[in-house]
Amino acid sequence: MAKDTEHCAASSSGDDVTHGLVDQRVDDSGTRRTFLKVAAAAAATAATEGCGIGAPTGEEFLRQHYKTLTPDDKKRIFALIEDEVRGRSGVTIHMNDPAPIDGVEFAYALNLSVCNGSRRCVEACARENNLPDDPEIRYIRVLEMEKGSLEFEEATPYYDREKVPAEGKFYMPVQCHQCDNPPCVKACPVQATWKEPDGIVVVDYSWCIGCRFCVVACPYFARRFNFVEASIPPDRINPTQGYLSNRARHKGVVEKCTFCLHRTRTGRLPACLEACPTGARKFGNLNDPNSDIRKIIESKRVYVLKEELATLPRFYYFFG
Amino acid sequence: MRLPWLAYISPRLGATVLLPFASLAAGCNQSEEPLHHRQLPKGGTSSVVVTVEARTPLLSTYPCSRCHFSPNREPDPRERKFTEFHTHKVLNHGTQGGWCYRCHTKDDIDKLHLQDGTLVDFDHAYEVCGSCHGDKFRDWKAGLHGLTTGFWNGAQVRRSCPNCHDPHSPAFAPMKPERMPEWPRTAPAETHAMGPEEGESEGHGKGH
Repeated sequence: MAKDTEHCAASSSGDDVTHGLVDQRVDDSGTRRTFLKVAAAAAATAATEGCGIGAPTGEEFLRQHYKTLTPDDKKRIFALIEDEVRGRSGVTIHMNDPAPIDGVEFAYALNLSVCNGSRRCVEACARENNLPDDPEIRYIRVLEMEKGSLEFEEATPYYDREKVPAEGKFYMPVQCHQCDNPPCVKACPVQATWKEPDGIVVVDYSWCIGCRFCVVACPYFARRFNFVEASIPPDRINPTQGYLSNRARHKGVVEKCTFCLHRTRTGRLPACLEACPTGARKFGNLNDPNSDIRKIIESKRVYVLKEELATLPRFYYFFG
Repeated sequence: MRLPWLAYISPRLGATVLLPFASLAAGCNQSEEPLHHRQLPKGGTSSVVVTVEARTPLLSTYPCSRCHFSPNREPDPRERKFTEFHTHKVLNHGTQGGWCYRCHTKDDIDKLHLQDGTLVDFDHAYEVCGSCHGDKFRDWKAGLHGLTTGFWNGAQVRRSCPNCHDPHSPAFAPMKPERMPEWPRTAPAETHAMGPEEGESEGHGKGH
C-alpha cells in the first residue's frame, strides 16, 4: 500500500464502520457483516488509491470471525499477512495458529517472595509480543508495594531506582489473569474476545471494533488499546507470530497478554518466565498432577488477586 | 449458577469451539461448590525431563587442584581474608565451622562434601546447599524454587543453586531494573496526534 500522510477515504470509512456497528449490534451481531459488505466495498476502492501505513486492507474488513475461518481461509489470510509485513518492513515472518492442546489447561503462579522488581519480564514480553515503544504498550505492570500490606492505593508501577529491590518494598507483577469467569469477555458487544479451551482469553484483532468496553471491564487493568498505528523497528520484530497472539495489531484494536500462546501451545514456556532472573514465575498444565504449577497450588498457600470479584483467575500469587 | 457470558455466544460462531468447555463449566457450577473453590482435575501425563545446568564450565579457576596441589602443606582453617587470590569473593556465608572446609574438601580440593562427609563434584553443588537448606532444596527439586527454562511438558534446564546465589555470599544481589513505564499521555499540544482525544474525534470521520 502506498505511503500517504493524509488520511484518506479508507480510514474514515473504516471508522464510520466502527461507529455504525455499536448501534447495529443491538439487533443482531450478524448485521456487522451486512454493514461491512457495503462499507468495505468503498474501503477497498479507496485502499487502492493509497492510504496510511498499515491501515486495515479491504480484505481485513471483509475477513470473517476467527471461529468461522476454515483451514483454507487461514492459509490464504496468513499468506496475505506475511506478504503485507514483508512489504511494509522487509521482515519475513512466519504466521501460525497453534490449536489448544487436548486435556491441557494453563495456569500461572508467581512467587512474591523472590520477585525483585527488575522488570526483565516486562521487556522480554515486549520483544516477544511485538509491543511498540512509542507510545509504549506493556502487558505486564510491576507494582512496587509496601512490605506488610497489599494496599494497591499505595502501590506504584512508576518506580525508578538504581537498584531493586528497595528497602521495605516488595514487587507484584500484574498481567492478564486469563480468568475463568472473564468480565472482559462478557463486556464485548461483538464477541471479538473469548476464552479458549486451554483457559487463554484471546482477541480476534480483525473482529475487534475498538469500543474498549473490555478495557474498562477488566479489574486487573490487563488490556491495552492501540491509540495509534504501532511502529516497531524491523530488527525488533519477532518473526514467529500467532494469529491470536503477537501478530501486528492495527490502530483501534485491543490487545492483551495471551500467556504467549504461540510459544506455550507448542510446548515452550512463556517469554516472561524465561526472562525472570529470580525464577519467580511458574507456568504449566493444571491437568497434570506432576506439573510445577500443580505442586505449587497443592503445597503453597496461593491466592488470587481480587478474589471477591469471582473472576476465577488462572494467575496465582504465593509467598515461598 | 448462571453463566451470563454464554448469552453472548452465538450458536453459529461458538458451538464447536466453546460448547465442550461450556458444558464442563456448567457442570461445575451446578454443584454447590463455591465459585472460588476450583476442583483440581485428576489424571494427565507428564513427559518432563529436567537437566540441571552444569556448574564446572562456569568456574574460571576450576579445577582447583591446578593451584591447590601441594599435599605437604597444611590447609589453614582459620578465619580467611582473601588478599592475593579469589579477591572478588566476599565471604558472607558459612563463617561458623571451618571456613572454606565447611564445603570444600581438604583432602580432595576438586570436590565438595556434604555435612555427612559424602564427596560430591561441583556439578552437584546443589546437594551441598541442600544438606543445610532442606526446605529450599525440597522446593527446588520439585521445580517450585529457582529458574527453569525450556518446555513446560518436555526438556527443561534448571539452574543449580550457585548459578543464581553466590555460595560465598548467597543473598540475591540487587540489580538495576529495566526502564520505568511511560506515564499515560494526556495529549498536550506537541503530542496531540498521540493523544486519546485525537483518536476519538478522528473516529467520527469528520473533516477528512
